[in-house]
Amino acid sequence: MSRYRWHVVPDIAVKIILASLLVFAGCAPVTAANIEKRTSQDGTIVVPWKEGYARYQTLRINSVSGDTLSRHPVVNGQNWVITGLSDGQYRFILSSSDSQTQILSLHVSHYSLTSAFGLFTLGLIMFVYLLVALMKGGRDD
Amino acid sequence: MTISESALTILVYVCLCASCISPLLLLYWLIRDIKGKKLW
Amino acid sequence: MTDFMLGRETALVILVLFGLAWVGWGWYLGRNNRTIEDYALAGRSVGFAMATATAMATWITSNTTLVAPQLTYQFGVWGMLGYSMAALGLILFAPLAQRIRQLLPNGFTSGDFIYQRYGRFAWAMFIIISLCYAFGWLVSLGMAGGLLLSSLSDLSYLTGMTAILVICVGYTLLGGLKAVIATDFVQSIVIITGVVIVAWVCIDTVGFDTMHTTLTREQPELLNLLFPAAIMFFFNNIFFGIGEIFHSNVWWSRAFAFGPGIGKKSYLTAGLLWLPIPVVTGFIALAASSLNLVPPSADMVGPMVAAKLLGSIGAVFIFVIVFSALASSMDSLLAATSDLLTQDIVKKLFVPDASSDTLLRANRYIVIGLGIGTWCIAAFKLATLGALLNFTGAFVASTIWPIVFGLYQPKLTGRWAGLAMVAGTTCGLIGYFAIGFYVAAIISCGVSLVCCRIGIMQSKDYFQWHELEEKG
Repeated sequence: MSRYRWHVVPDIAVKIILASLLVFAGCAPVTAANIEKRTSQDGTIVVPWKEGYARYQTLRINSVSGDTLSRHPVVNGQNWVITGLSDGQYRFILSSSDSQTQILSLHVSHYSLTSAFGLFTLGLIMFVYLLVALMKGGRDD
Repeated sequence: MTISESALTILVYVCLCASCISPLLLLYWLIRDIKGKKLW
Repeated sequence: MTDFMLGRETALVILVLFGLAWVGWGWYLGRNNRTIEDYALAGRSVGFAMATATAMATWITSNTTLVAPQLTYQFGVWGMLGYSMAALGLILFAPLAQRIRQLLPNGFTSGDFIYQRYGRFAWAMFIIISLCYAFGWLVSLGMAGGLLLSSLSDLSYLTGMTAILVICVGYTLLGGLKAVIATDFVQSIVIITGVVIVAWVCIDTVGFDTMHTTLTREQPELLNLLFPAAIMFFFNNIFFGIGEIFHSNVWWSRAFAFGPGIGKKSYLTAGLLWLPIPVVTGFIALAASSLNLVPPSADMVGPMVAAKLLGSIGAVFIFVIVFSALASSMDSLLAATSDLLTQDIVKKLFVPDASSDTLLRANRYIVIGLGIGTWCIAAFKLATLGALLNFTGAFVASTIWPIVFGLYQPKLTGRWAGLAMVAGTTCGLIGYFAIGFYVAAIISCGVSLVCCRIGIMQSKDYFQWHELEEKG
């Protein structure tokens, strides 16, 4: 039993040190040299490629609370088109094994459902009128 | 209001089956028109 | 853009094979064309199968294979369902096709009807709108041909664009509408089979549960049935599609070309068969995040997903599908636009007593001229032409009510119909720039409707339908 404990202690120490390093890395300050602030009314954004992105491997999209919602690979010279985001604030962070940087802050605020349904209803009324006109015309034919 | 997985599945499968049938229907009508000499 | 490219030799072989087959077939079909009616309207007796297939294939454009996945990637379930609603253009044109054939049994073009029904002013407005839309679509197809073929293979933009134009001009010139319709039949089978295979592989590889789970986590709005932007754009897109079909000579020439009693049935059937296709082509975009793909531009999401799913066969597949979709629309546009220019400009304005032979010759020269003109403009790769197609919504939607009332409501006069088109277009364009593209068609259609209703209310005229037969 005691021999087992002697083996375990160095293992635990290594694990604690590794865990601390990981936590420390996770908490590493995100450099934020040029954070662009953008807004979107439909949950879509085009993130253009810029010089200097090539040294990172992953684009992460984080919520304000820090949860990573999605990860995308960095492809040299290629933009990213991100879609389908709900209302809220998002941070776009490029990361590599030893550093990370926030490149974008996005505020998504979708169009109001009232205006959306307003336009929809106008269209529906006109569409129904068209159907009626065609059916009436067909009957009188 | 999120579409459920089963609703999405049904929607896509119905459209896929309908799309599978359409080339067959077109070929069937073509053969019928050729036999009836009503192609052109 | 795609991970996957076809080699230059493979791409050229596919193009050459298609080109030889299509041009050869066009020559074969066109060898009995004697009159302008044979050439431009396939003898006015196209049967149901060919009629249905050509209506479907022509409405399946490169947009159906590229924009349906793009809209699904941006607007989710509503994106693909909204795109499906473009089938309503075909379905609602069905009764119009029957009415057109009945009123103008010897008509050639949409312009013929507008001229005889409404007179010169409305006809001039209508022709301007029609030609703007036709050229815009033709050039955008030429550009799409170049861009797509060059992004899927090692071919350059110019080679891809030239190849597709040469092939389409070749068989349209030699065979006329018969060649257009016959190649459309084959192309419709190729396109539908291709997109169905891609969809099945997508379901098999990714699966709905993975797709749904990934989307819920990473792109939740795409599954939202109350996605505000999508709801907002819904009817604008519908009226854009209806306007495109109701006014364009592509569809009117078919109404004149289909055999008696065929038009209504075939347009209705084509519309119903077309309805599920955007869902089949569009839904693969929902698999993008599950496949860890982020497109560099939204319109590449379809080819990227298909290439990832199908591997080395994928590029050949997409290449053939895209080529077929482009060719089936471009040939129809070439034929219909050359008919419009021949009948409405050459005959009406310059040579009113032209014989059938003269018109046939003129039509052929115009097809060549359109091909050269399209090449010249598309070669400059003016990016704004893609945007031009977007605001043609304001133009085409203004023609819906003048056409519907023109066919069924005898009290609307030419002055008010012309005014409706002008006012609708103007207000639609104002809406486009002041508010956004998603209101252009709806505003245009609404303003046009108000003008037409005012015209009908105060009119003391009553058009006699038999006048159309007398003038025709």
